[in-house]
Amino acid sequence: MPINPKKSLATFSLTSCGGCLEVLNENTNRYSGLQNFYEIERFLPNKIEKKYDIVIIEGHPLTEKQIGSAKLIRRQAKIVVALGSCAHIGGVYDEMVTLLPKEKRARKLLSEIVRVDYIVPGCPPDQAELTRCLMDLYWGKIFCLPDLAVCFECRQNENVCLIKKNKLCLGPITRMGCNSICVNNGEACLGCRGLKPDANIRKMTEILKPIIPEFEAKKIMSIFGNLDAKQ
Amino acid sequence: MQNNKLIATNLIGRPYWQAPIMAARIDCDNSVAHNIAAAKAIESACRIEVSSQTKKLRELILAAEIIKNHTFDLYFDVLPDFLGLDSASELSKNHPDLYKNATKLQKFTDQILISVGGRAIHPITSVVGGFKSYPTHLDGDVSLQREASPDMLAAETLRLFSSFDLPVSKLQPDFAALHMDKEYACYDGEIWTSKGELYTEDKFLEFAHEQSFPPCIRVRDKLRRESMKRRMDPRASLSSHTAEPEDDKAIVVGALARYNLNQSHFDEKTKKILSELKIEKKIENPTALILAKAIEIYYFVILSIEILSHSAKAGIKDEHVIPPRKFSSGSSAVESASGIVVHSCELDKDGIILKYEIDALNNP
Repeated sequence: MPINPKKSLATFSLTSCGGCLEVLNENTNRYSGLQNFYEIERFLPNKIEKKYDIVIIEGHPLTEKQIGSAKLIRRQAKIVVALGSCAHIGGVYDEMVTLLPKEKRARKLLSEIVRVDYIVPGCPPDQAELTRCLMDLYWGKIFCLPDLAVCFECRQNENVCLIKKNKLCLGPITRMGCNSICVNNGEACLGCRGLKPDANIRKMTEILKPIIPEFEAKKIMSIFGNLDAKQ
Repeated sequence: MQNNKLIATNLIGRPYWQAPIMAARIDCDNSVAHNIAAAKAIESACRIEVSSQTKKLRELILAAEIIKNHTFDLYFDVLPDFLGLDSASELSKNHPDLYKNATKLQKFTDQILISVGGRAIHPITSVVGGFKSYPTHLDGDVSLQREASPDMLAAETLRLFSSFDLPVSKLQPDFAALHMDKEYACYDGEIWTSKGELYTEDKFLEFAHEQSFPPCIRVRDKLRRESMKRRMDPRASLSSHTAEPEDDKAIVVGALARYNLNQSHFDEKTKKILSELKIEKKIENPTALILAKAIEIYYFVILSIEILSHSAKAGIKDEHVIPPRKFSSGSSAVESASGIVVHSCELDKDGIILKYEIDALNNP
């Protein structure tokens, strides 16, 4: 049992599939373990008087109303954690704004609207990484993401390099931490965890040129949102 | 705006193979259903005929997702209400045995989803034309979870939920579900309604447009109103409620519709337990959705075990993903835990998506 008292943790969803918060309680043992350290509840925008130690936000802010909610959360939370690709780089919902009426268009990433303290990237995010983040924050530590590329983990997992096989892969520019789960399962890395700090997109596009047409490369880099987004 | 419409718009102008990846992100609860429906729609447009092994594995992960959703609904949403508890965490404290049943069933389904799809949420391996990688030791992977006897847990679940007295509603909705001649349709088939209407593949979209959300929502709202009425006045008899004429037009999809339209295709074990528990062959009461979900948990667990045993005996071949032969238009319908998912697409000569439409007909 922890010596310190429980901290308050709230979750809030913007436009998303809901999978990131599903990851939080995917492993019931790990979730009940977290409940020893946190009082977990859903953030209700109407409850303006309540303050939280940590608020986890999943999803991409698409409307003015959602931007308002994100700002409200920032005022009421000591720490804001952006969870998943949608909250980090826009995710699969990033290009949707054209569907909405002009006055409702936001076209901004969560980090451009409010200050985000920590990011747990991925689509879906890794539960172990999320737990590590929450435990680090509980004990007052700074949570850090790894700076290396997915290729690093991919080699450790003894996968054959897809690019060497003349196949598409965004592993060289994508931040590691997923244990190269997609490549392990035969699929290419599509960059859901965003760019690693020193990623060179131009070089990556050149590498992909003989493999796929340029317009397709652009479409691939935008599956999980704006890969070029500020990290 | 609904997620399915947002994703469908984002798919336009993208290469065909991105459809299943992005469609899986519409709704995390039905990610497998959307992934498979998108893959099937594209395959239909590309004239791809997948192998029987691929079909079986897709059925397996679809069944796993349905079991997982039903288990979550029944144990963590419905059961606390029946037992007078506030939340699922109270269920774990006051009825640890029931809570364990739910978690064991979820672990069983998660292990199937991880072994076949690559992970529990948003499958990785399931793509247009087959699977990127095949689980060569599928039965071995899931064997640990099978030691928990999921069939026994599912039977226990069915017995528990069939013992509850459900409120009777006089709503008499029509039902719609996928239907096949020899199987309890989930992955394939035509859409049948209890009124006797038939929608083949070329008419899936027509069905989705006709039976879009308003009728489903009418039934749901009606049930909510009844539930509110009961809370405010517990003595009020629900059976005294008379159905309004507009209710007759409502279409119910999901577990209850599948049970009513397809139960003749249940396996012997499921038929036996249904007759043992004296469960009626036709359940028109929409509140019996709970019972239909419990029945489906049992049926799909038995089906999953059968597919796993078969794969252990016959082994799983490492097949290649089938490439497209031509690009045109196609559509597909797949059953999800809460209803029917319809995908329709049109591709240009290079395989770029020109049109994409996704309809998710859901019941609560």
